[in-house]
Amino acid sequence: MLKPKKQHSIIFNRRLFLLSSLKLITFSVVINRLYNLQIRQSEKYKKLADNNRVNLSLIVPSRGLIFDRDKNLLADNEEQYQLIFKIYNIRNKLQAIEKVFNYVELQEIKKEELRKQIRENKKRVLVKQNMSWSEVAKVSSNITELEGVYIEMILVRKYISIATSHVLGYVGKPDINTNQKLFKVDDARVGKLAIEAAYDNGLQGKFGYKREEVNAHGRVVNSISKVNGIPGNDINLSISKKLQDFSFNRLGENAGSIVVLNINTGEILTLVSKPSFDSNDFIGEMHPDKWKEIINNNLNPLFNRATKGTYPPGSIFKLIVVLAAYSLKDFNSNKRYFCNGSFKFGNQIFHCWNDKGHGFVNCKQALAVSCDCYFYDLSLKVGIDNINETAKKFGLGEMYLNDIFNSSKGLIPSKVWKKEQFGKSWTKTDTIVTSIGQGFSLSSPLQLAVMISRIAADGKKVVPTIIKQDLNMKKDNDIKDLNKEGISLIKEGMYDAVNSSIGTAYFSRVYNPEKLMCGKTATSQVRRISMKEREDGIIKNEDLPRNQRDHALFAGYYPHKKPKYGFCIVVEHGGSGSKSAAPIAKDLCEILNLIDV
Amino acid sequence: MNNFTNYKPNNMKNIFLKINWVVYFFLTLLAFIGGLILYSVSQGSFYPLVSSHLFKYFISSMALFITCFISINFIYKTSYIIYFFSILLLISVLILGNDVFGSNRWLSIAGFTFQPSELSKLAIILAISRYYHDYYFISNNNILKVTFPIIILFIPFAFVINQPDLGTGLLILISGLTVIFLSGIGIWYIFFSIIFATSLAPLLWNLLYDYQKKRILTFLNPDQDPLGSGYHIAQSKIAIGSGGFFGKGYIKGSQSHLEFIPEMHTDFVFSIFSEEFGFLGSLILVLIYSYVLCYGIVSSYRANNTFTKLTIAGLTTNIFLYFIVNISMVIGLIPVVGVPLPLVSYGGSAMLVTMISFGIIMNLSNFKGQLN
Repeated sequence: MLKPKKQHSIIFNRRLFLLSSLKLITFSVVINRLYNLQIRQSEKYKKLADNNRVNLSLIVPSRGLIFDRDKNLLADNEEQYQLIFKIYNIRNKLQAIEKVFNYVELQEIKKEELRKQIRENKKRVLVKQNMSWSEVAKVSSNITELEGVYIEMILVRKYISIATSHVLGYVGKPDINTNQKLFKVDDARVGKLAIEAAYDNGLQGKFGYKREEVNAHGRVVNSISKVNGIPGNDINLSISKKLQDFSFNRLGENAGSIVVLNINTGEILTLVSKPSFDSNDFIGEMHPDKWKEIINNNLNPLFNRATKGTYPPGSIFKLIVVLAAYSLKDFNSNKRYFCNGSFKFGNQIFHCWNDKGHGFVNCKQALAVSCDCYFYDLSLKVGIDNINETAKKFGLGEMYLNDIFNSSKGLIPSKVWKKEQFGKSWTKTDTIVTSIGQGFSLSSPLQLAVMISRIAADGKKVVPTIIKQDLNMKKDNDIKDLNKEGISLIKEGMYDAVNSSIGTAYFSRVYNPEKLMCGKTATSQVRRISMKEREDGIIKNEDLPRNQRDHALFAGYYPHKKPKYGFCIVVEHGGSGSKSAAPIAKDLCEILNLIDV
Repeated sequence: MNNFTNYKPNNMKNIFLKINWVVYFFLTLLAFIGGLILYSVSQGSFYPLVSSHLFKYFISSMALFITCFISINFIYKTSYIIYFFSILLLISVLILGNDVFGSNRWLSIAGFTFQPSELSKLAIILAISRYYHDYYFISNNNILKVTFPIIILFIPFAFVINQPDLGTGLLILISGLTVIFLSGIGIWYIFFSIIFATSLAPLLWNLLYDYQKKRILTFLNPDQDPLGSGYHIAQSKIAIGSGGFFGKGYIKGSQSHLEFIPEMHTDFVFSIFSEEFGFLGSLILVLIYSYVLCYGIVSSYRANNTFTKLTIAGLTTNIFLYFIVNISMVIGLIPVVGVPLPLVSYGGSAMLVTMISFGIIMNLSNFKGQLN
């Protein structure tokens, strides 16, 4: 038996050995771990460290500017300051954002949304767009106590005039479905409508990028490399800002449209649709009240009437009937027709707009006074096929600038069309109704402007464009198989319609004898007048609810010698063409005389 | 006076012979490595971290020399007094302590802040060792042999846990239990203690603070919250892993200089070192620690009485625990507990205790006489 002390020593040494072995094992575990981290998985961690260190970000190029034909800005880029909240190493993110709220004005709904985004650990949160100067000052002077807050300067689209909203469209945040690449880029904007959308590729420019060294708090420490983007290409539109603004204001509270074309080049000088929206409202986050206002407006401000709105062309269509008549061998424009106020066909009676009748009228006079009965009679001789063909030659039923405006095709009825649409044969009654631009026919203001321009250009095939052109159109693009006599006759008719005392637009004539306006009024019915109403007396437009009033149209050109401008004015439910649309045309021509675009 | 020391006080040569200069060289090397990393962390600035670190090392070295000089008998006799003194300090922390980040661990004395829990580690080891030295003749299976040391151990443990400082508390517990284990208590006590401790685990879990629970849960599932509590460990691993074999080079660690690593100068100092000096550097550091710890183990083996054996083994274990817990923490082997890397981390208390511990080890390992 050992002494207790000796025995003790043995136990101690044994246990010390055990303990030391345990220590050795833990050492080997640690070394093994270091080996794994630093040698076996080193590449992985090196990559992770680089990802931490280097921040690659895209530089959004400045978007191409949009000018009018005289180099006036229509769409600019404006410097704006925005407040960004980045979540990096912030201990209490929600507390930090609450602090930020003390310095910027935000709606409660927006605040709640931001809190939600932060709870979801979104790395970069846009707190406030378009900061006011006082907000920028307040935040910058307190930046040291605001964690994760950055003020960024960005270029934001700024639209100069509300009158061009329908032409330019607007930019907005990229959509995840259509633009996956750009969707991920903060502050990237893409064109959403009209010119901005159609020319987005050119306007967008090329993105640059920068590699920066950032610290754990997201602050940039060093710039590693930077490749500057290429700014987007500017666009010069054919629109004249002055004329556009004038036309926009001249329409006043009316819903409607004004389209003005340069006959020589096909350039669209004015493309107004009313009511309109403000493109600037669509860029950032739209105020809910504004959106409600747009949605609740039953005139639909988002609808581009100039290109998508279709109206019965009314009496303007009579020009086409005359032109079609010239293809007849025995057509004599001087042959007089007696209008007694109505036209009997079978057992149906078709009325002239003037109940008392126009008496004896020849073709030119019929155009000037816009006698319906003359054309009822003429159309039956000409036939629908002929009318249809001629209408198409002059650009009706054709889509223009579809890629930009998603334009409407309108409708020029034909025998085939009716058969397909309704399964019924074309009747002569249909032809009669079509001859005065009622019934099935539908045209957009742009189409009517093109038609009138082609007539004014003596049958040249004017094709509209919205981009500024340096050269006139090619000389040899005349409309084929066209009787020039017909053109000069209807031009005379249009001259008389405005400048002769019998004309429907006589009270809207332009007084400058050197430069006179020519044109054709139209009052297109949107309701059927019953026999009973005819007997009781037709209800005046003023007494009807708005949506049953007639559309007022005027299509014309200016000046009468060597015409330069072709235009079409539509005042939706404006009553008669001579009272509502023609005075606008007069003012338009007087302005054109002054500014000479 | 004769009992105070076995050596004559005027014989300075003997005193210097007691110091193991090789070990001291390695300790100095560790402190120097600490200085290097602090210099890197401070973006190449000597003040205030590096200067302060070196000054603290100088003071701690003095403490080591003084400890070598003190008579073993004196240490032996004052063991309990030191222990009571340390309890007193823990109580004063409770009353006067500085509240830092919601825990009450520091005591300010004459402009210096000190962590009394560090002193407790030393005191507990000395007190338990003395107890076993005095009562070695009691049978190993006598219940008395366990009860008293357990009481010695649990009083400071309770104080430290209450601060709250779970990391240091557990370190105190483990180093104390190691001494009890080495004393040769019956194997059944150990067996039942383990079963008892395991059965208490769910209860203890409920006593933990929320942040402690969160740390443990995060450790078990670090991907659950990569930007929250797991973030520090993830970033530390990235720092170490990206260092590769040779490291990124001195003052070139991107993880540390771009502030991805928290507590760079204290708990996570090894991450910086490892990132900048790579696997090679880490291995050298581990080997230096291994050497000084082996010195302790061998000294303990060679010692000729229970007090010296247990004290040396306890102190060595304590330093080992500091080291292994800190490194395991930064390489993601265990949850985050606030334990510094001895001598390398910035911070005086741990350094002072480490150097005093080595002073005692050097002193005791030269002792061949009898305690009385």
